[in-house]
This record gives sequence, C-alpha cells and structure tokens, in this order.
Amino acid sequence: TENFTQSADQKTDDDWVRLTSTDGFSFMVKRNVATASGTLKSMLSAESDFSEALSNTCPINERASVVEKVCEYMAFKTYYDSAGPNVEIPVNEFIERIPPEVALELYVSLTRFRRACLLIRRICCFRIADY
Amino acid sequence: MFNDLQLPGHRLPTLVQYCQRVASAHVECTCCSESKLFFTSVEIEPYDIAISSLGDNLRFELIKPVLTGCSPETLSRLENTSPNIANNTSELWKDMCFKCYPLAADRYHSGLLEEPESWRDQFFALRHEEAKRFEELGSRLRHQRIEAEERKKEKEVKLTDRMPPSKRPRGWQPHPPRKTLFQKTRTEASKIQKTIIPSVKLLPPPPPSSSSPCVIVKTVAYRRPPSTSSSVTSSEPSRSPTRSPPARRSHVIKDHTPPGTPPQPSPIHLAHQPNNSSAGKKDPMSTLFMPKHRAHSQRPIQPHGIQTR
Repeated sequence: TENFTQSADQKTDDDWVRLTSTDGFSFMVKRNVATASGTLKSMLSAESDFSEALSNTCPINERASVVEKVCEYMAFKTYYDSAGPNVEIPVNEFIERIPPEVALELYVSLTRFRRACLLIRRICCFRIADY
Repeated sequence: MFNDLQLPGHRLPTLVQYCQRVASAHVECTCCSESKLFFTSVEIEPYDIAISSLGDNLRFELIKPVLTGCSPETLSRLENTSPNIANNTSELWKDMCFKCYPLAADRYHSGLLEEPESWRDQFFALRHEEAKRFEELGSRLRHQRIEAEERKKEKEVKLTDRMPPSKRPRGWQPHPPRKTLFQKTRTEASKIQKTIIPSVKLLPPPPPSSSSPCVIVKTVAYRRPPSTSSSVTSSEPSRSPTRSPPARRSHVIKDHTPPGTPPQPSPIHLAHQPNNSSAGKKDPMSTLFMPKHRAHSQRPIQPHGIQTR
C-alpha cells in the first residue's frame, strides 16, 4: 500500500486504485474507472478525509465475485460514457457477463450497500458540519 | 453505493437494473441444483441455472420485481424454499390469477366472485377447473372423431372372398337344348307368317309334342294368272311348268338375286322376285316353306352342282 500512497497534488486520473473484497482479493482499477461510482468517488477524492483517499484503497464488504463484477461494470460504463453519440452501445453485452449465480447476490448487495453508504454520507456530512 | 452509477442522460442501464434482468431471466429455468451459496444455486450448465432459494435475509421488496415475471410453479417453489417470503406473496398471486384467468377476473370485478381467503389457493382451484373442462371437451371431441371414422369405414370398399348375393334370379341356362329340325322350321315359318302374311294362316297347328318330328307336307294348288305354279314347294315364280326347276330356279335366282348378297333364297329377297318376274302380282305362297339353309331343305341335292341356297 505504500506504493499507492501519494500526496494530494500528485493524484491524477491515471492512477491506480485498489478495491479489496472480504475474502482477500484485490482489484486494481484506474481512478477514472473507480470514480464512475459516486460513492467511491467521494471516498477516494483528495478533498475527503477518509482513509481510503489517503491510501487509495477502498475495502468493499462483499465477496470477490461481487467486487469483480462491480469493477467490470465500472470499466464498461467508463468506456462507453466517453464514446460518441453515434457509436452503438452493446447494452445487452453486459447482461451476458453477469452469471446468474452472482446476479441475485450482486443485486442485493448493491441495494444494501447503497443504504449503508447513504447512511455513512449522512454521518460524514454531519461530522464535517461539526467542524 | 453503486446505484448512482447511472446519472440521468446516460445510455447504459445501471448495474442494479442489469442484475434485475438477469435474475428475472433465470428464475424460470428448469434445472434446480443444491444451493451452496447464500442466495442462489450453484451453476452446472451455463444456461440451465435456476434460482432455487431466496435465502432468509432477503427482503421482499427487493425481490418483488424479480418474482412478478415468474411462473406460478416457480413462485410456489420459491415460497416453499423461502418461507419468509410466503407471507407477502398474496398480491403476486392475485395478479397471476387475473393474468391467467381473465373470465374469473371479470366475474370478480363485477362482484360475482368474492375475495378469496388465499389468492394462491384460488389460483390453483381455477387451474384445476380449467383442466377438468379441457379434459371434458377433449373426450367429447375424441368421441365424435371416433364416430365419424366408424361411419366412414362402413362406407369403404371391403375385401371379401365370398360372392355377394345375386340380385336377379338366374332365369336362363348357358346351353339351351338344341332344337330339332322340325322345331327350327316351325319357328321360322311362324316368323315369316307374322311378318308377311298376318292374315293367312296355312300352317297346320303345331303338334303338341315337339319331340316327334313328323313332317306333314300339304300340297295346295294355287292358281296364278301369269304363270302357273303346281307346287308349293317351288318358291320362285316359274313361267314354265316345273320341268327343270333347278335350272329355272338358278336362272331366276341369277336374275333376281340382288347383287352382293349370297344366293340364299331368303324370304325377304324372294318377296321382291314377283315384282321383277311377273306383271306385278305377288305370289305370297312362294315365300312359304322356303328353307333358309341347305341343311333344312327337303329337296334332293341337285347333281348340277348349282346351289339352291
């Protein structure tokens, strides 16, 4: 993790960030990919005081299969977001990439995590507001 | 956390939406394997996966969109494996009833059917009723079809080796008994008599038994003005006495026989002879007793070789 610790000035979108899962896997993604998710973006942003931002590592409380799919989706989204308006987006391509045995788990974890993150945000905002 | 992956204006569905789609698509599949994961079943074949259990911690609101698209069997199965969900599925069963049985839905909406205690039970009762009705209709159709086939078979051509009953009684025999000479002569004479001389009856009455051919020849003298005929047996009008009947006859025959026909002293031909030979007076007697065939002729065979046929 020391390699990824950088000062606030040197953080660029080309950097790699790490997402870790509960069963010990780590996923390295580009920062611009990770920031496709607003929650991760705020967790990793330089302005925040989160430890994740300092270490460029974001632990995710899910299994590796779930985290992997999330990374895949973020990469997919980042790629096609920057595509021109005339480019045909293979929307159904990603459906094939979700194995059915992960789909339900992923679905539930997303919704659960969302609630948890919203809660954390509120807490953080409250805490920041204190200052 | 990842719900905000899609902002308005983006063309990609969210990951949540993707997951919902995949889950809905696979909730129906037939293969059902041991559940090793917390939520879903283990994959065996990529396309045979099915969700066998929803686990204990799953909140119903989350899974509801996935369950609305599934079949009654699947819903029932998931209820059995995840009992915590069973309490909340009433709405789903109601929707399923309305979707599958619109007639019953109409009755419910118009007030004829009252709210059932369990929509799930109601659904299965409706299904049972419909199956019974189909079975009834099916058996009726089958019965009608069998009857129609039987009727058709009756009209078909059937193979048999027995003779059918004959429609007409067999009235004749293949070989009627041969007629004797006398009988033949008699039948021919009667024909001639009927056609040409309807009024004159000169033939003796036929003997009662036809088995004894006794020939009765009756000589009748008949006087004709232009010529004399002494014998009934001479059929042609002879201008001279019967000195040489054969010669005269042959001569006469030559004159009077119409060309192209065999020189047979047929009654018809001889009927024309008087016209040619005499002034015009018919000699109907001449046509009497003229045998058609040489075999029937009672005249002796002439030595000149001239056929009297």
